[in-house]
This record gives sequence, structure tokens and C-alpha cells, in this order.
Amino acid sequence: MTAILDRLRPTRDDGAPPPIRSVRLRRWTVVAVVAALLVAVPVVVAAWPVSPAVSVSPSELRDRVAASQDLPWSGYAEATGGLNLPDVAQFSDVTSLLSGTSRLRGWYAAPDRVRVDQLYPGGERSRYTTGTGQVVWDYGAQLLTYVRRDPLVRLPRPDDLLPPQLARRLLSGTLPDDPVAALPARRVAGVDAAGFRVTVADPRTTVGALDVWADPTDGLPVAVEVRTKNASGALASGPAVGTRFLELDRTTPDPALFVAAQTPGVGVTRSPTSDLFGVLGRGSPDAVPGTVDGVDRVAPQRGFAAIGKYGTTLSQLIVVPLPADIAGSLLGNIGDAGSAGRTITVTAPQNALGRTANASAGALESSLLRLAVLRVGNRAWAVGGLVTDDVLDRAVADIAADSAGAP
Amino acid sequence: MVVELRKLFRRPRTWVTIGLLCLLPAIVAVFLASTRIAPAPGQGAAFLSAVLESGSLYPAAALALVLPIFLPVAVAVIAGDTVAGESGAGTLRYLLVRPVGRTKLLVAKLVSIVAFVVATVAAVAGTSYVVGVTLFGAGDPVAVVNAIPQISGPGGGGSSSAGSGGGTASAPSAGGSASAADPAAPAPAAPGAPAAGTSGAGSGAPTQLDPTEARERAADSVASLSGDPLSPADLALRLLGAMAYITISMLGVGAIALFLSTVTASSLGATLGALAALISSQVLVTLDAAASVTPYLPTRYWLAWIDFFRDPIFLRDIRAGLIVQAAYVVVLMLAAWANFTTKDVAQ
Repeated sequence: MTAILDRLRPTRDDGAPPPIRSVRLRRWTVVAVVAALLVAVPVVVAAWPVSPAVSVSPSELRDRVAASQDLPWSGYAEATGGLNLPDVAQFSDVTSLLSGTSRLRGWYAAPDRVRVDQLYPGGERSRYTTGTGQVVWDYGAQLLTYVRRDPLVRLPRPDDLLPPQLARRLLSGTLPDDPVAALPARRVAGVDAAGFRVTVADPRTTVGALDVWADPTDGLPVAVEVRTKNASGALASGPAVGTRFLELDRTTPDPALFVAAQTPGVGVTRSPTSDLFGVLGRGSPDAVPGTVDGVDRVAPQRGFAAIGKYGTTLSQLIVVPLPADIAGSLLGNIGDAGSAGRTITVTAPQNALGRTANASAGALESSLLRLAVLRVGNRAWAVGGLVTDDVLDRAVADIAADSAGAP
Repeated sequence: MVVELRKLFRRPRTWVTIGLLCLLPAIVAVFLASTRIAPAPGQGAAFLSAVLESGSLYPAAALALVLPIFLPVAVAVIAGDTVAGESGAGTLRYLLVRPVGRTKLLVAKLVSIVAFVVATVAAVAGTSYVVGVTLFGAGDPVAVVNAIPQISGPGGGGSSSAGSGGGTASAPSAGGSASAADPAAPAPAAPGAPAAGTSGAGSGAPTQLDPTEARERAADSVASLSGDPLSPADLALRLLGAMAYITISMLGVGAIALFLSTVTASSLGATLGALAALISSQVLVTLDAAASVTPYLPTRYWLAWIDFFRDPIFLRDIRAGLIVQAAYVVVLMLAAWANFTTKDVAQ
């Protein structure tokens, strides 16, 4: 290489070699050029203009996204939550999910053939969805769990954060007349994706807008960002939750990938449900009130009668009964949570004997998700939703008032 | 080139370095084997908690132990010494008098660094395999016998309560790693579970099984991170892949140290310079605010070798790591060449 480069130099008339200083300069120039080229490659790739293959109107793209559940894909996505929720013991899976970056690998053939691996530096947790239930693999615990059924209303979990899942779930909570506008196209995992923004008009929810980028040809969502709004309705500048593919393959995945293999030596167990709500929701349908903040309860799912769901849009409220001791420790955690915790004043109604039970309530605050815990005497509830503070306060007051009538 | 290699492997300190690197995993293995206290799953170095199940995974655990600090330090010491060491000892002048071009000399130095890394990684993996299989066996038959009945009974865990968000704490009968080390001790019931579910009787009792058959199944009992069983051949291939990747990961460090070695006459300075670069890189990688530059840092993809043990193998970070290392080697070797070939080696 030296020889080649040195041959390129202009020969002087007298045939003498050039001074070492100029050779040095030339060679260092080569180094600088190579380094600059290497740094420039990713910059140029990122700046390359994006041109979606077909142009579709934002509202048509929204319809395609909503109907994309049968499109197969496999890929790798990273989801970032900026909610900065404090770590509260019983909900640590949820708070860490929404307050950090999740690395997710997914394979999707059909709604009942899905596998999602959440990657950790030294392990992973996988969830296989099959026609008969779910299988959860936890490398840290070396445990394979066969799960029979999770309730439809459940805590968020990692596989909800994959772009197609998140986009469809959130869009199903918007109203048809929520305004839709086009967003600049983006290249996401090699797809020139068209974008649209649904501005959520409902003043009861903290969700201000959903930004979705999808493959314009068939509507597979490849990136989603959720923006919150403040009390006056102004959108936050950055997304509260964002997820996007970094690698995407549109072919149907190998069927063998959807089978959870059993390795001898690892533990295997069965569980009726893998979700906290699935456990809490097994009580009586009377455990939660029929109406909260003026919204009637949606008929509960069979087997999970105690889960109260109020509304079907993004402003829906979820109420589940809690064991009183768990509620006590949760309220303690909320009290320790600093600025993210808030105490709600509640007045318990008088019971038939004219006595008033002790009532206390607290809420965990984040820009998007709000969660309240209410304890009246020896009964307790958790109330949550993507709702504003006043909606949450009214819901807590309604449940406290209702607790007098129920046994 | 042969001369350089001979020089490297004739030096006692090369062997002392390799020996020390092999010693650390061996010490850890002795402690683990004598106490059988594995780090809590998901904590501590990668794979360490799985090692008690099968010693054949110990090379991976050993590499995870030496990778963050000891291996890069060793590479920086050896690479930092290549040119500056000759200069400091006064032998560089005589070396350059010989009819060998300076470019060729640099290439020979780089090759010797590669040879050192290959030898070290192979030595660490080799000794730790021997240590691991000797101390932990190639699979724990007790654990296998415990797990074989699995879930043959229909509807086993119907009444077991509290399948909570964690999902794992409520397994009263899991014959898994938690209870494998001491099968006599019942796994603690989850808090809030009034009684161990009926599933306890179904899957907890070991069935009659030929011990040799159990041992054979145990040989296949290494689970990938994704839970699929890995056959010994598959495991060996993945280990080789991980070793190759770790070797390449170290080339970036080697190139930094080699370049600095051509700049200064002090091998200590070159070594410390390379280590300073690495530590800065490590600090920035963990910093969320520096996310815009982390993909370009030499240590960003170091841990991607673990992805060889996922199923299917997750190639994204491995590929990115190879590109980053290649870029560092190209730029720094060019810089070393530009500096060294035009340097006045008078002293």
C-alpha cells in the first residue's frame, strides 16, 4: 500500500524523494478521508430521502392499519417509555416497562400464533400465544409456564409495545370523527413508511395524539408514538411512549418458532392466568360499582366478573378490587413516591349502623397513565386509566360512595 | 511475522497473562461448586446461574467473567507494548535496520496481537470447559429426573392461586433450577397462596427412570436463553461463534493500543491511553443522554456475543459489532501506518 500510494506522488525533476514532511501530510490525509467516509456512511443513509411506494390518504391508511391483524411479520423493535413511574412493588413489571427501553423480538403469523421475546443483557422472557392459551418462558427462573387464559382487561406487558400491537390497540380506542392528519414519511427498518396523526378530542383522556407510521401498501404499522396533552389541550413536545421496528421481515415466520420447546432440567408449571388482574378479577360482579364518573360498566368477561371496565375509548377506566393488605402496602408505596404520588381526600359514606369507615386514597401520577388506590374499611380497589386527574378523583369518590350500598 | 509470533509466545509474561486470565474463572468455579450458591437468576455475570445445571455452559460464563475488564486490560498491555516496548528497550532501531518495511512490521505486530487474543480466548474457554465439566458435570441428573414428569397430568395447576404479574413466584411445584440443587427442600409457597395447588403432587414426584437414560437426557439439557434445548454439537458451534466474536471485539482495543504505541515511546502510556479510551466508551454506553453516539463506540456491542445463545440466533447486534470493530481497526491501523512509517526513529 505504501508503495502504491508513494508511486502516485508527482516525481520531481531532480528525481529526489519528496521531503518526509509532505509524505507524512499525505498519509495523514488518507487517514482523515477514510475516517470521514466511515462516519459519513450512516449519516448519508439516514438523510437519504424517503419516498413511500404508494400514496394513500391519512384516513385510508388509518383504516388499513386497523385491519392489519392478519399480516405476518417478524422483527426486532425497541420501545421507550418516558413515564418515569416510581417502582411500586406489585406493579414493578408495568412501571419498568413504561419507564425504560424494552428490547423486543417478535414473530407474528396470525393473531393466535405469536411469539414475543423480551431481551435482557443476560437472558430473556418469551411469550408464545397459541390457539389454546399462552406459554411463558423465563430464562432467569428457568421456568416454562403454561397459561390458560388472561383477561381481556389486563396490565400492560412487553408484547403490547410492538408497533403493530400498540397501533391497533390504541387506534381502536379513538373515535371515528377524531381528526386525522398526514405526517412526514419516515424510513423505519427499511420500510418507507407513511405517517398519520390522530388527534384525540376527548377531554377526559391524557392522550393527546397518536402518531403512527405504517407500510402504505398494506398498512402494517412500523412505528408508533403517543403524545400527551396538558389541561388546556396543548400537545407535549416529545412522545411519552414510542416504539419502532429496527429490523423487519415481511415473510411468514417458520411455524417451528411458535412452539415452546421443553428442555429437560427446566421447571414446567401451569397457571390459570399470568396477569395480576386475572387473579384479582375472579370475585363477585358486585365488587365494583355499576357506574363510575357517569360512565356505565361494560358487561364483564366470563370468568373475570370482578374486573370493572367503564367505557371503550382511550378514556376508559378500569376498576379492580384489591385485597386490603395489598392496598395498604400500595398506599404506603405511593406515600413514599415523592412528587409522583398524590393523596386524594375521600369521605366514606355512613353504613347502615350510622358508622363511618376509615377511608384513604392515593394516586400515582405520570403524564400518560394514572393509577389510584382506594381503601374504605376492609375493602379496597385499584382504579386506573389514561385519564386526567379530575376524572380519577371523581371515579374514586364514586367508588367510595358506592361502597356503602354493597355488602 | 513468524519472528514476531515466536517473540510473543516465547515471552514468559504472555503465558503469565493467559494463566491469570484462566485462573479467575477457575476460582469462581471452585467457590460455586463448593457452596452451590448461584447468583440470583438474572443477576451477576451472564450464564453463571445456569452453570450449576450443566458445566458445559461454563466456558460461556467464564468468558462473561473476563470480558468486561481482564481481557481488554491484557490486550491493551500486549498491544501497547508492541512498538513502544521495542522503542523503550532500545531495540526498535535495530529492528528497523533489518530489510523489513515498516508497514510489514506493523502488520506483523497486528497479527501477533490477533494471535494473542485467539490463544487467550481459546485458553480461557478450554480450561473453563474442563473445570466446569469436572466440577459441575455435563448436566445434573437430579435436576433432569425432577423435570421429566413435566406436565403430563391434564389440568394440573387449576387451583394454584396467585398466578400474578411475575408469574414465577407462584409455582409451588416447579422442579426447576430453584429446587434442583436440593430436591429434598420443597419450594416455598408463594405468599398469599393458602395451600400448594394440586399440581404439586403431579409434577413434583420423580418417576422411575433409568439413571443412564437420565444422564443421556442430561447431556442435552442445556437450554438456550430462549428456552429451547441445545444439543452438545449446537452448543459447541454457538460457543465457537461467541469466541470468534469476542476475539474480534478485542481487535478494536488492540488497534487503539497499537496506534498509541507508535505515538509514544512508553508502553505504559500506550496501555493506559487505550484503557482510558475504553473506560470512557463504557461510561458513555450506559448514559442514555449519549444515545446519539453510542452506536459508534467500540464497547457498545461487546455483549452481543450473548445473542449467539438465543434461539434463533439474534444477528443484528453481532453484525453491528463486527462493522464497528472493523471500522476502528481500519482507521487506527491506517493512523498507525501514517504515523509510524513517517516517524523519525532516532532515539
